[in-house]
Amino acid sequence: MSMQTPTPGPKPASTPTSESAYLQCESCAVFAIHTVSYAGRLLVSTRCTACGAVVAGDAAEARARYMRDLEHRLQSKPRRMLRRAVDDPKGFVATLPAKVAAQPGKLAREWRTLLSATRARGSRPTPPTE
Amino acid sequence: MRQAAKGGPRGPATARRGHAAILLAGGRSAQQREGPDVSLLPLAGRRLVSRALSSLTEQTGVSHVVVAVHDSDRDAIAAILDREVPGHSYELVRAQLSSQQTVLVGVEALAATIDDDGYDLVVVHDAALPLVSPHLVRSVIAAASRWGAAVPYLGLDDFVWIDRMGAALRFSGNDDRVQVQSPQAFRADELLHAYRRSATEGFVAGTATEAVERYCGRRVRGVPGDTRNVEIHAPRDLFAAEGLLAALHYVVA
Repeated sequence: MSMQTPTPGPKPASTPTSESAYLQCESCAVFAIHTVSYAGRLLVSTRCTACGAVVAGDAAEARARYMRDLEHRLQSKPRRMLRRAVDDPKGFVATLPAKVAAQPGKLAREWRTLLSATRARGSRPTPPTE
Repeated sequence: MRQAAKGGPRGPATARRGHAAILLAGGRSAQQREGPDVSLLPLAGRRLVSRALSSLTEQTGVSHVVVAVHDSDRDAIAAILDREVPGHSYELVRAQLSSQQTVLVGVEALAATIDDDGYDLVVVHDAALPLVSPHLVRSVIAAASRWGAAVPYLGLDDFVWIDRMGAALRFSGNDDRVQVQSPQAFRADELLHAYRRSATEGFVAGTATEAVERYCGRRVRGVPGDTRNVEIHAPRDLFAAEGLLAALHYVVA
């Protein structure tokens, strides 16, 4: 699974590959920093930095969820683009070519993250510690 | 409805003025002193803190939100709120080591306006519950406007239990215990009074409800809660919340 060091300061507009936050680990029960991985805006796995426990959904289900989410993103894209164009017409026009060109690479990275995260965990979520 | 205790605020709550909210978005990181708070995490493309703030202010009468954050999250949360929920009136205050101290700091930030009768109610919410619906916020506010203080609750058989594969199970039992949720709404002057008295007397209140009942003689009323209003404190909660959002087509009404 690809992990990144959390970037301090303001977050970028798009969802990055991974984030970190305090969560209670379901394996070691400790409140610890967890690395949370995303494919696009879809959550794919979490990893406890204290014990290394990984929680990820079923691999096939994760891929299906990603496709549904991608479909939703595509459907809502025109509305979101229109909103950005209205809010900041010059900025929208100036950044549009670069953003369009970046889309294939972005989708490829999301797919790689999805595959590596679900492969790292296997096909079943980690059972919680009662 | 009980009258306010001697020395405390009196009089009926009205809906003539606007309301304020205190959004707790730094409790865990304030205690741990390192690492970002869970409220900074994205959930279906939006951060938990902006989801919570958006619901608190969506046609609820809440005109201003005090967001309590850890120092290290301050710039990130300001940037998130400005980008994801632009145009909302908010201010950032420093989260403390306990939620009681944090709410006190939050309500003190509102004190000048409260003293000028600027707010009817103060709604207290935790950003770790990002799927709170505006409908639930309005229900709590309506009850608090009438009774002075209100909290949402779930009966034990309302709990959503998740099995090891993440599927929802339904518990059925005969038990009078309830789970109290957030957001909770209180008369602004009473909340300020209760927290100041708690601080002065060194009383450790587990919840705002406890402080208001103790120092204002107010019986806090319950309104039906919402099983979708899940708290994010473990990885599984994140997956569950994302699944709920997808099932709702990403709109929590």
